[in-house]
Amino acid sequence: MKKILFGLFFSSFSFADEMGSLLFHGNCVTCHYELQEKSAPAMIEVRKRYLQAFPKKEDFVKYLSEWVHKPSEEHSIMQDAIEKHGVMPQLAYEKDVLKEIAAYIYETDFTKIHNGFNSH
Amino acid sequence: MGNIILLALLGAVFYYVFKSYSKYEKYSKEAFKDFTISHDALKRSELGLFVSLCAKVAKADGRVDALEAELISNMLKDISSVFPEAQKTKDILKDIFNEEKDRTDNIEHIAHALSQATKRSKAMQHQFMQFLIQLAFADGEVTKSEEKILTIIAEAMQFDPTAYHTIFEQFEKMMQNASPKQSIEDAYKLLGVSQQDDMTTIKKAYRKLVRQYHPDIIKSQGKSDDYIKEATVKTQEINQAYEMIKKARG
Repeated sequence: MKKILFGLFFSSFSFADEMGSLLFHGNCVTCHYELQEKSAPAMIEVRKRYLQAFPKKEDFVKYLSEWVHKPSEEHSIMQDAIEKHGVMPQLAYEKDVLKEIAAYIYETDFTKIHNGFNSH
Repeated sequence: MGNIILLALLGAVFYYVFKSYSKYEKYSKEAFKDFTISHDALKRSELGLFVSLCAKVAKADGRVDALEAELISNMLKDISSVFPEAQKTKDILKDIFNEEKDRTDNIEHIAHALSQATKRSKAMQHQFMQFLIQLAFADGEVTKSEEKILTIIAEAMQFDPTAYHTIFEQFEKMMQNASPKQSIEDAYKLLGVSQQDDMTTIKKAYRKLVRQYHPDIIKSQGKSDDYIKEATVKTQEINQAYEMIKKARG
């Protein structure tokens, strides 16, 4: 019974995580590589900065999703990245999708092997 | 006495012929019980090849939207469930999906390999093609880039062009008819939730319903042509109800 309960807990957890992973890898990594800075800051850098500014998951998800929903130079916490690459274009993603992705970024240590890890 | 033995023997032969035949028409746990799970073996298997093609179709328009991600997540779960180590299989399939989604140089190669791997059953090829077309329609309309990839796949699989266009047109018609006609009350009713429920509850109900009614590539095997179409319509209805509620709540 314990095993079943644990399994249920685990599978529901991994399901939410999986949606975030699919959405993140399907949409973000084209520009934001996980570990390398190319045409946009690397994901580990974005995550680090956001974690410094918003240690609580709730705040992290809210700010990141709202900023990407409507990117503005004024409200950016990464001015140096804007200087280098310009402001991120507005991509018309749904808030819901952005929240899911932000939660995935908050939870994922990109330096370790993680769900959906690939060559990036 | 001799007759009975002969009859029993004949029965056994028929049983095995039938059984091995049905193995090819449907995917089952039994058919995969000796399958060794590895990245390479899965990638070469027909279901692995199919996942690769789904990745290309899903990413063709440059983004993977929420419903596409739901459907893919469900698909990976459905496929993994017939393999011996479901969780391990799913993790590998997800890696394959991520590796393949941005590659456009090997579409023909993979489609050809899938057609070779499934050449014993035209019905199976038909279901795969239907599923891929359905996936392209999931976000409402098929973009030029999605259509291009579907055409490359169909040609490399030597899929009958008339059959391809028939499927395509059927989905096109279905999507036009599936335009929202429900009221907000109907939307709540369809998801089995009340106006007082919070968004987390509603989202859970939505996901559960998609899980229940989505086009399942494993279940579709051996079923009639209508299966994927009905599942697609149902999924669209559920999705539209959810979108409507989300919009109404701002």
